[in-house]
Amino acid sequence: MDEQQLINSILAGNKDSYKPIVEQYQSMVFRVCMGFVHSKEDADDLTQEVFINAFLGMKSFNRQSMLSTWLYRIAINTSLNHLRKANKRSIFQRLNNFSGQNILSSENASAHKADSADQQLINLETTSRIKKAIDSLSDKQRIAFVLSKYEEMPQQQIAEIMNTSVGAVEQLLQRAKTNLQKQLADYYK
Amino acid sequence: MNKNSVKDDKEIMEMISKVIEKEKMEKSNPFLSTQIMARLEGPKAVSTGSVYQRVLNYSLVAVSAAIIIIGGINLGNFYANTVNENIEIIALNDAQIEYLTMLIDEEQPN
Repeated sequence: MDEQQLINSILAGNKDSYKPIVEQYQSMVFRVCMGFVHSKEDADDLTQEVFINAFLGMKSFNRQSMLSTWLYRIAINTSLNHLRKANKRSIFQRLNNFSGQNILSSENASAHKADSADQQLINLETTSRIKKAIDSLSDKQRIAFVLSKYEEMPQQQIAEIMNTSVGAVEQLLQRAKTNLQKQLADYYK
Repeated sequence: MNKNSVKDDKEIMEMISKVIEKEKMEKSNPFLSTQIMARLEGPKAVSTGSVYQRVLNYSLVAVSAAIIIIGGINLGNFYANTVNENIEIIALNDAQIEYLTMLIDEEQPN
């Protein structure tokens, strides 16, 4: 059965028709979630939540866009909602993170300058810094960045998913790149 | 923009790309589709009636809160009225009562 037939079958009440859709788009949704949460376990949980939400909301899928576009939007919204909830941390956790950052920046900054680019990559602190820099982007910049870098998606498709123009997507990507370079350049000075 | 900053920016973007490539190599749970289908088939699968159930739950909470508040206000008023009566009794002065009586008697026409 093709995609439209599968959707018709699901809407008719045949839940088994949903399994091929999950198997087809599972990796795609997982990569998008990974781009937001940077954790395999969280990405697995979010992927499951995305497909559950998509199944329950299948009636609202108007088929004016592709199913993949619709799933991308659900994945992005689910990931962002997860991050907003996760950001409501206790003040003690914030203090711990703050003190941890101070120690790491003072002890490792000079070491980074002496290492080559490949050795820096092995360093978990470098990876953590890069992930935090990505996390610090605004929602729109982050969405455009994740779709561009993790899904290697053309700007036209990103614009369709974000319901905006190609020019706006180009601007978002440029600003994301500039912000990332600025943040990481400040750290490595 | 000098040469060093351009080189630094390029190195930074290369590092970012390598971190992203490493994340992209992660594979999702191979049993994900099975788990999802199990959840959809299970008794805890969310149905379309959940919206009404949630509205009902919120309404019950609101009504309970209103009952508690109104009950508390009534209880407080009952206590306040009781206390005021006692204060009036305590404040009665026999001397004043007699004084008033004399005034009233004086005003009566012959």
